[in-house]
Amino acid sequence: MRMLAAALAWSRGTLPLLAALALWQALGHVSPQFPPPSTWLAALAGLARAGRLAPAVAETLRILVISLVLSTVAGFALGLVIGMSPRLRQWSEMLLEYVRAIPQPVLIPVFVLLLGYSDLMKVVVIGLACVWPVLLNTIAGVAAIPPLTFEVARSLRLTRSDTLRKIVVPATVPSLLLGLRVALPHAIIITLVMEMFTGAVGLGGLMIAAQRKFNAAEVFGLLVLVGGLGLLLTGLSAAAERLLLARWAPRA
Amino acid sequence: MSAARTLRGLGGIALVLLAWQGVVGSGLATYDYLPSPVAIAASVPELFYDRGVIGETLHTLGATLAGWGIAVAIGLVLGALLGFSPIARAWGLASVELLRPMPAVALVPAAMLLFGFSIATELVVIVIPTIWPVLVSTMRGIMAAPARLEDVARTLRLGRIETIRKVLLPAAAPAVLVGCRLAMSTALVLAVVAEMIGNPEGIGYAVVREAQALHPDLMFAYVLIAGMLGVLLNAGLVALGRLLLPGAFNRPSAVASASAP
Repeated sequence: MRMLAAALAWSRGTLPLLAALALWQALGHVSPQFPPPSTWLAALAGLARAGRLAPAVAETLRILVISLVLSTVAGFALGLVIGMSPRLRQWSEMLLEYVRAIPQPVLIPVFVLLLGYSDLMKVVVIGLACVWPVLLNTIAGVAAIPPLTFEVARSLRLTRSDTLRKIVVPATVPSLLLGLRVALPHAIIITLVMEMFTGAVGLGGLMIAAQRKFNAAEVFGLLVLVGGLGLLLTGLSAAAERLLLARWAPRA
Repeated sequence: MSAARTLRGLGGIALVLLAWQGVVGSGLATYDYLPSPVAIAASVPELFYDRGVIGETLHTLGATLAGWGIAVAIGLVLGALLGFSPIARAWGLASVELLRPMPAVALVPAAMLLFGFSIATELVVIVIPTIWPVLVSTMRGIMAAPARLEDVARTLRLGRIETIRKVLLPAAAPAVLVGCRLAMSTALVLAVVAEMIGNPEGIGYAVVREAQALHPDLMFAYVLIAGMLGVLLNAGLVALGRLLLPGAFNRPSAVASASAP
């Protein structure tokens, strides 16, 4: 009952958006570039009937998930290595700072040239864009472990791998999860840009194809679909984070 | 940053460049289009004589700053409205929450449909997604102002406007600055995306053009310039923040600086 009331209270807030869409619908076909919302759904249904929508969604999600998983694993591992060595941290600091500042989409043409239109190119491009939050957060997380903790580990004669497993990793998981939450939207964005730029199979490819055909209803329909997908994925990641944080609660 | 740390940082970059040179020069890497750092450096004069790199850089810089400025203005106003007014939050926040996770770049095709290959497309693509970080951090900054401060304002018998101007806005300023900084990296990324796909000008387009013309040395040179632009914009904003609000960036937040769009 309380949840229902909360949901109702929240849904009031959607009124401005709904009102804007209703107004748009009521105005009807003011211009061919602004088709009313009802045509968007019809356009999406048309794409689905033609059998082009499901494969595009599946391909976008496939490459997104593979890239995100690989870049998270790589970023976490590299972050642990760099974070545990103050020397390495100082030597790599400026390099990381600089490479991170490159607006990642410009790397798409670079890797298309180097690796061709392959899955490897896609994973490298997406991975390079979304590895930073996990990598930097992990480095910061390891660096934030009080030195005393390591002295305790030494006096308990823990081996290096035990120190890593029992002290460093548990202390860093919250930073990893936070990094992952920041990384997800980057991953979605760069996946779509990559698909738009290369015209690859996927939602980005469908969007750019619709735009080239001047099919405005399809463009807006796909925009809504992509927005919904973004909402769903961020919601899922927030839920997963809550679940994992309950297990790996940061200890003060 | 101390001198020794700067030296080590530069040393790290030099080591990577040396390794890159070694791998390409010795023929260990077999990519046709991977130039060595020396070859990239040698192509730099060509950027100035044949390519108009200054104009291209200024185009990207100008579009980024203009889009960022517009987005900051809109984000500040909407964020302040949502932060100060519980009524506005009740009747509007959910719309923001629904629109915000929309992947920013999905707007590119829609903007191209409306404005064609133009600077208007680029600005629309930059502005809309860049509003969110400013809006959200402004709203949260205002809402996080300690209730104690409002009590103080009441004790001092400040009016509503004065409370906002003298108490709540200064309390929210550090959060707002972090949002503005995040927004800047978002704006640069989107400017480049818009140039790659929607508006054939600036650095983003230059990278694509050189890639398609199979000039990998020039392409890499442009990529490195894009990186310098990113460093410069971030440093400029940090300096501006220090000027406006001494101490705001003293606690570097890895999370905040790691987030782009």
